[in-house]
Amino acid sequence: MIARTGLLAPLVLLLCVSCASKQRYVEPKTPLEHALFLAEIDDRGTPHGISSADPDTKTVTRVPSPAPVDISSRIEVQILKKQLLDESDDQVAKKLEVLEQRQKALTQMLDSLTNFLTKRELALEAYEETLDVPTNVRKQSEAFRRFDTRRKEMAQAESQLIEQIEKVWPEDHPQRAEVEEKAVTLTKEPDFQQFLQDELDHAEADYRHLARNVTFKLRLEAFLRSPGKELIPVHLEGYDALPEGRLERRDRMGLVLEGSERERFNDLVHQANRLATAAERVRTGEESLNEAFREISSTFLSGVGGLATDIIALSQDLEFSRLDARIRRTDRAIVSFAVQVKELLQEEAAEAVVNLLEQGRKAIERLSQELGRRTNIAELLERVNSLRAALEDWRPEKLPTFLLHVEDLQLKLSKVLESFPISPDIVASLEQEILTVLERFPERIRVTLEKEWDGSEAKLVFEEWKDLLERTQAMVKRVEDLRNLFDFAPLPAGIRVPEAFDVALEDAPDTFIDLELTPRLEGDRVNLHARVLDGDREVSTPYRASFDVRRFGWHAWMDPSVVLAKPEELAGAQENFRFAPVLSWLHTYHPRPDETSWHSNFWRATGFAGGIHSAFLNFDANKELEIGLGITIGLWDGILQGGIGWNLMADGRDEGQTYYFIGSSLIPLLQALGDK
Amino acid sequence: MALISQDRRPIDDALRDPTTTLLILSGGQDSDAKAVHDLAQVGITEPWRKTFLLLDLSVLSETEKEKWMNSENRYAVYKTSSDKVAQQGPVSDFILSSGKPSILKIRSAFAKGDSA
Repeated sequence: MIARTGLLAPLVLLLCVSCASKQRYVEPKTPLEHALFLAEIDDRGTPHGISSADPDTKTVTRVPSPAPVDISSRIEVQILKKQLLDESDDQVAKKLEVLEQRQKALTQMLDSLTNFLTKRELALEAYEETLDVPTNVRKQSEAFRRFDTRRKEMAQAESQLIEQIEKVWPEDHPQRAEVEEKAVTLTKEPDFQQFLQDELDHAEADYRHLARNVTFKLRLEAFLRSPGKELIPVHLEGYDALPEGRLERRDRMGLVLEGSERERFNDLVHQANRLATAAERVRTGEESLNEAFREISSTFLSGVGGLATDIIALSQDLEFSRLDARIRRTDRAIVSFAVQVKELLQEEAAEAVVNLLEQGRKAIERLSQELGRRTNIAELLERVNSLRAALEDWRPEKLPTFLLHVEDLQLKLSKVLESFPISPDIVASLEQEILTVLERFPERIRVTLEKEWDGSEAKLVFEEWKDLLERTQAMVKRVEDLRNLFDFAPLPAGIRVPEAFDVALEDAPDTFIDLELTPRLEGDRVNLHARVLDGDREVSTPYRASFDVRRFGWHAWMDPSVVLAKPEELAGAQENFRFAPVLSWLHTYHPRPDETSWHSNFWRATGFAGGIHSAFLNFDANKELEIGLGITIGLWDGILQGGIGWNLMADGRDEGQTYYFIGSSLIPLLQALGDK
Repeated sequence: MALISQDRRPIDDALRDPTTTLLILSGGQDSDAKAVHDLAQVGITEPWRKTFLLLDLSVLSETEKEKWMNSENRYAVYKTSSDKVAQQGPVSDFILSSGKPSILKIRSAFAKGDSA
């Protein structure tokens, strides 16, 4: 009994964790957030407000973060062009105003500099005259009075100039260091004057460019995210060259399963059998609860364990001393290769190769710097190890500690993802560059080079760098996957759909995300990103909205679960409860967030579901197959299930012909454990 | 412009001259005060503006300590003709967030001294 309670308690708690409520909307603040109107059109063609409660008024009062949408819906993206164009015009006007003010300030500064230098000249002349007067009577002299007046005039001009400089380039201005450097020769014409003149010329040129050539462009990109799977770019008509996508319907009755939904169902049925078998072994004393739990969570456990091992290995390789040694070895290998090549080739070709290798050396130094920025790795390792230890010696009473580790790990993983600036293409682009240059050489030289390269130490070192980079990238990916098991990590800022293209704001069409053309599953998330660009430069805060894929309205689903089944009568049995896998066909109603009637609240509060089931029983050890059929009632989307059924293989009432059960759906459980 | 450890004659010479405006700094050889002193030596080219770094405060009389500074890493801008301290404070007043000394701030301090 303790074992049963022990197994159910963590299940219920983990399910509660997995069902924690999330924020649905944020207020629009940026111009883009006010200009993108989103509406959900359900499979019956009825519109539902996402951007505002009333989709007819087309006012953006909220940005989904994430908002729930139906699994068979279409998310319409309407570009409120007038607003966006007005905003962009406003932005241009603001920028022009800033540039105008800058020009004015720089012109004033140039005038002030001239004034200061003139006053300084006069002060210097007056000072020279004081030197003719002996020091002891100097203070009383006319020359000194003249000098003091000139000096004060100069100081006033100097203060005015410095005040103007500090207004344009305050202490935290990125250009301040350059200004300071130039100001060391402030009095030396034309140094500082030329610097100010150059700045003024740039400001004038920027002003002219902005006034004439501004054409802002809009870029829209969408992604589908399934826990533990690769990110999938989603087609947005008019904004990318992606294929439309394959139609995958989601049957409201839950009977016809297509694509990824079928794959998940098969997996869940398999997991239900595994879990029920493991639980039954615990009940009969064949296995400890600890062993059983480890078995059912093997994927998660090995995921965490593997990650810890990888992090240890990688953090050793990323130690400064090792990176430094690696760079020195690379340097030696490159030089040695260059010497070999020089001996073999004419001077001209050899120079080109040496230059190329020099570039290689620089690229590797840059890569090493990026790899070296490994803040948070030690902390991450510590947290992963704690989690691993908690899982390896699993006991139900450790659940609160385990959950704390998970929560902490989730935070750490998010930080690592934010602070790991890997440029994946450094080595790849270098390799491509080398191949391109090699192709330009005559055949004879190319053959010689390739032969030399193949057997060289340089190639070996180069391969090692590639390996290190790949391992680092793989670790970042695994961290990301692990993070996504608990919740979706924010997508990195630099994530792109390569097939996306920019559209001029004036021509930006409305578009949509058709969820039926994506392999989405309930529980997935869709992200929509929008940016306004001037060339490659972002001119406003990027827009980010996200949608959680849910099911709304009446629907049914096939629900694999693990239950404790009790036969009403079973001759000669000591213990009547048995674990068994059950497959229920459950029907329910999910109200939309804006439905507020009493019955909507009832459905929302209870998550009530009802339907029929088939159970795979094991009341009689002599029978290979025992199948039961009956009725299931579920609460909270099947988290808690109970039912009554009839064992089709029983010959009489005392062979467990009628049975009752209580159990839990596997879907949220396995989502929480990550064994999908 | 000089580093003063024991011999204070350069300061006395400057104090006797009514045209002088002094920036007096206190601090060690590796201090921010030394960096400010070195930058002033390069960037301040007006002959009446003089910068001194006091490596040892014991060269100052009690009256001077009271008037200019009583501890390390401080500064005072002093105009001899008017016998006025135009500006004083910690040396960090001249240091930018990057950790480097600012010639503009040094110039600004001298300008206040000249105007006093």
